[in-house]
Parts: sequence; C-alpha cells; structure tokens
Amino acid sequence: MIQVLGLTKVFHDSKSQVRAVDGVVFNGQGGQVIGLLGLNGAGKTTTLRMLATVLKPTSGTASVAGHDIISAPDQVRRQIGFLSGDTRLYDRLTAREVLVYFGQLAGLDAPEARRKAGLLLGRFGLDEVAGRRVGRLSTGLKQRVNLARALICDPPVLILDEPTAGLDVLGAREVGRMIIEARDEGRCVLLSTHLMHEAEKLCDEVSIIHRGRILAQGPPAALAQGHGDLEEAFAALVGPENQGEEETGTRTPLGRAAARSVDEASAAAPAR
Amino acid sequence: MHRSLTVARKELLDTVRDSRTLLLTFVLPLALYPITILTIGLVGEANRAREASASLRVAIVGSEQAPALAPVVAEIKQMTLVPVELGPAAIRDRLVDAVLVVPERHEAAILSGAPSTITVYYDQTDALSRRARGQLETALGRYREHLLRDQLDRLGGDGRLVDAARIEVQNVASAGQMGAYIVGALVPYLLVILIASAASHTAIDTTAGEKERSTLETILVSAASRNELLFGKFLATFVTASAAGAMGLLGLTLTIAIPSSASAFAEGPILLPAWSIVVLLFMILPVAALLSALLLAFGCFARSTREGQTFASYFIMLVAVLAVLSVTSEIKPTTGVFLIPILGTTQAQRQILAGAHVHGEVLLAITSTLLVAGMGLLIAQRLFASERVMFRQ
Repeated sequence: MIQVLGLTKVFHDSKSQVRAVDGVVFNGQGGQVIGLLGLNGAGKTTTLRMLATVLKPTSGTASVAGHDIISAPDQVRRQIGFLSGDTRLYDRLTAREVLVYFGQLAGLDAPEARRKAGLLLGRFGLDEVAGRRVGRLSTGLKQRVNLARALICDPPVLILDEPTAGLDVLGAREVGRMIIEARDEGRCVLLSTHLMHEAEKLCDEVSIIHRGRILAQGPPAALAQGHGDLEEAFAALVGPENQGEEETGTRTPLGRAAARSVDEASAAAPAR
Repeated sequence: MHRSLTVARKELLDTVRDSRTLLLTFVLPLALYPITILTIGLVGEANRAREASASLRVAIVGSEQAPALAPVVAEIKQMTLVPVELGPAAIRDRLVDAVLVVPERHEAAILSGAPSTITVYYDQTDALSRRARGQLETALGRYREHLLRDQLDRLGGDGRLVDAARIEVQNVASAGQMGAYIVGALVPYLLVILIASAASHTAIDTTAGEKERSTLETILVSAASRNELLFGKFLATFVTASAAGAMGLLGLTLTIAIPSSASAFAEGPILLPAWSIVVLLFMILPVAALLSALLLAFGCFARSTREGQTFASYFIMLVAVLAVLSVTSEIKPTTGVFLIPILGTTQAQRQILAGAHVHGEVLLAITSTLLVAGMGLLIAQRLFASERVMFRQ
C-alpha cells in the first residue's frame, strides 16, 4: 500500500538550505498501523506531506496504493485520507456540510456524499452535532469530524500526523480506537507521533526518524529489546550521548541492520 | 468543472454566513449611491444657498484712475465696495474677497490708444473669492464697453456699435441628458470601487485567509486538483464582485428615480434608458472578472490576510486612479483608450450613459479586459501551484 524509497526533501531560502527529510525508506501494508516516531522537527510532517502530495520530494519517490506520488498525485489523493494539525475545518459550515463537501470533492455525487456523511456521523457519534457549525464544536468533536472527513471517500490509506495532539485523555483514547478500527477494516494507517506510549499501543511497525533520517525500524517490542521499553530505545538512538552514532543509528543490531537497508535503498533511489 | 463548482458553492455559502461580507457585498453597495448622491445634492444645495446669500466684498486700488469703474462694480448684486483701499494681502486676511488694482493714468492711457491693464486679485481656493472674480470679470467687460462707447461717441461715431454684436450661448442637451452626462462621470468610478472592494474581501479570504486558518492543506489533500480549487475560488470571487456591482447599480437606479436626488446634478429629472442600465449591468461582468483574477493572485502571494489586504489596498488605489482619470479628465475616447483595462470600460460606460452608441468600443473594452483577466488567472494559477509561495512563513 505504501512504499517509500529514499524520499528526500531539501528546503531552500535565501541564506541556507535545510535537509528536512533525508533518504527515508519504509513500507506499509493494508491492515497495518505504521508509526513514524520522532521529536519535533525530525521530519515526520514533511514526510507525510510528501506522501499526501502537498509537497514535492527533492529526490526519491514513493507509491501510495499503487500510484506514484510524483507522476500521479491526483490518483494518490483519491486513495488517501489525510489529517494533520494544518488540516482544520471550516468554522461556518456544519459538521454534515463539511463531510458532504469533501465527499463531493472526492468525486461522490451529492446524494451519495450525503448518505456517506450520515453513516460517518453515526459511526463517530456525531449525530447530535451534525447540524452545528464546526466553529462551535469542542476540540475533541472537531477532531472526530476531521477523522470522518478523512474517511469520506473510503480510502485504503490513512495518513495521520499527530492525530491526538491537543486532545484530552478520553479524546485521545477515542482517536486511538478509531485508528485500530481503520486498521481492522484492512486500511493501511500511517501515523506520526512523538508519544512513545501511542507508538507502542497503536503501531504494528515503527520507524524512528531523527533529523530527517530513519535510525531504526521494526515492531515496537523488537525495537525496545535490550532497552526495557521503546522510550529507552528511542533515547539510546537519539540521545545527546550518542551524537556520533546518531547519523547511522548503529547503537543496536536492529539499528545497524536498518541503517544498512536505508543506505542500500538510498543508493538505488532515482535522483531528481 | 464539477469540483470547481463544488468549491465555488461552498465559498459562497461561507460568504453569506459571514455578516461582514454580506455588508460589503449587498448592504453597502445598495446604500452607497443613495448616500453619495443625496449627500452631494444636499451639500451642493447648502453651498449654493450660502453663496447666494453671502455678500461679496471688493476693494479697488487706484479707483481715481478709472472713475467709471466704481459705479459699474457698485451695480453688481450682493457685492459691497469697501471704501478703504486694501491691497491683495487683504484677500488672504479675509478682509475682502477680491481686489481690483487700477494702474496710474489708466483711462487716460486707454483714451490715447495705449494699453493699460486692470488686475483682478482673488483666491482660487476660496469659493466666495472665485465667485467675486467671475462677477468682476463680467463687470469689467461692461466697463470696457462703456469706455468704447464713450470713445466712439467722442470720435463722432455711433456708440451703439459696441452693443451691436452680441454672443448668445445655447446648450442643446436637455436637462435629463445633462444629468445623465454628469451621473456618467460618477457611476463608473463608484462601480469599480464597489466591485474591487467586494472582490478583494472574498479573494483574500479564500486564499491568504485559508492559509491563516490552516484550512488550505485540508483542501490541498482532497481529490480536487489545484486548478480546480483555484477556479472554484475565482468563480466565488467573481460572483461576489458582480453581485456588489449589481447592487450598486440597483442603488443608483432607485436613487435617480427620486426627483429630489436628481437636483444634485441637473435642473430636471435624470433620464437613464432601460437599455443603458442593461448594458451597464452587462459591463460589470468583465470588470468583476479582471479584478477577481488579479486580487486572487495577490491573495495567493500573501502570507496572511493582513498582508493580502495591504497588497489589495494598493492595487485598489491604482484602479481608483484609472477610474478617476475617466471622470476628471476629458480623455479623447480613442481606440487605445478602450484597450486599457478599467479606463476602457469606465469610458465605455460613460459614453453609454451620455447616450452615445459605442458598440464597437464596448466590445473592444470587454475583450481587452477579459484578456487581462485571463492573464491574471494564469498568474494566480502559477502562484497557487507553487509550494514556495503557498507555504511561505
């Protein structure tokens, strides 16, 4: 469903350039939750934006649901539901109107969009607020509407950038439940987070990203092996005492194996 | 196209739910013409009444050099001859409204055939002083005739010859036509400002505003292409701008139907044929398209609503200058003029309101305006597709 091959993004301004994402490699299948775990500024959002075709990669490529993000971005967007901190909703539209709108943008005709909107409103417990303007909803309800929006076109791939940011405990649990549901429906869910417990609880596979590079990949339990838990493993990889090894993440055997595969994949990635 | 229409419908729904936009698009245009025209009428009436009742004060320096002059000046209604000789500085001090300065040996020089000039001093910035100047010039004409008549009689000729050749001026335009001509100078300018204001609000809100509210990425990740999204926003901006123009025109039509409002501009009712209203309505569309496209481009470029509004305000100033040019200056309506966007359409509207048949020129103005609108849309498209522009901090 998702194949990322050496994706790189370099931002330029008049004074300098920033390598936000550097040769990232990972895969995801249907029925899986893939986590991208990293600190703020690690390159998670940029990676997800490239996969959602909002940004163009500087080099490397990726395919989502069989479509190349560079040559077929329109097709990619028809196969994904994307949610991030920058995908807010329209305050003056009602929850129902938002879903119908995005359903129509996804290519559904008006009756079908309304039908699907109704189903999603029910599924996400939004029936009572369906006619309320988004601007008057709580943060938690807005996030549910946003998740429903991401699912309106029934996409096989969900790309979620820190979906629980700003939510309280119950709100975060609710989102977590919905992510698991989506996975169980056979979708591929790509989730970025900086919360260890979230990655441990929700993800089948985790890629640890730091300064734009993947340092380690694997199931959370495997990454945590030898460290106690995922947080310790993460700290071991990206902590300041490991500055010299952080570029290749070679502190653990898994990290070394991941680093080798990343290097090999980067070498094979097409240059732009 | 289907997605573009979906975007446009949503933007328009958003617009009508925003009370500020409703005010700008519907209420203000409808009210602007009546308020403007009635205010001009009231102020004009008040000024005329004030001027009519005000007594003008004039001083003559060297009146003994032109003994026949003072009686002529004294005949002017509501003009008082100040007995003290005050120089031009007295005008600035508001002691008098005008000063006549007669040179030494004035009448003697004239009678001997030598030139001699009486100077009228006045203040162009003061309405009463300007009126005094006008009346003094007329009086000086009568004074000159008086001197000529006397000289002719003295030389044995017939002084009545001076009165023989008379000039009479007749205006063939009816009062209604005069009113339409004057209204034609005002209407196109106001229409352009109305359309630009409404267009800028929607254009900036649907582009820079979306960046600020973080809703831009939400639509960029939808299945709609960037071109479809942008065209939808253009359609919504165009509809809003056209609606503002139409409301303005409706306000104008209703206002000039009120007889008392027409007195602001004419001595009789202002006649606007129905066909001219239809043509004016039709000509709103290319202007709305042009301004929508260009303002959309500004909105795409801006990082925030505030920045977008700043760009838009400078642009609207430029547009206003072009519109004012067609109002204040007697531009010769050549082909070249009709090719200039805004200037061409406002000139065409002015000609239509004056009753001229300018079908070819109208077509020229519309075509050139639509071409520039197309270019503006291309620029907006480039900017909207540019990652560097759309995601600038």
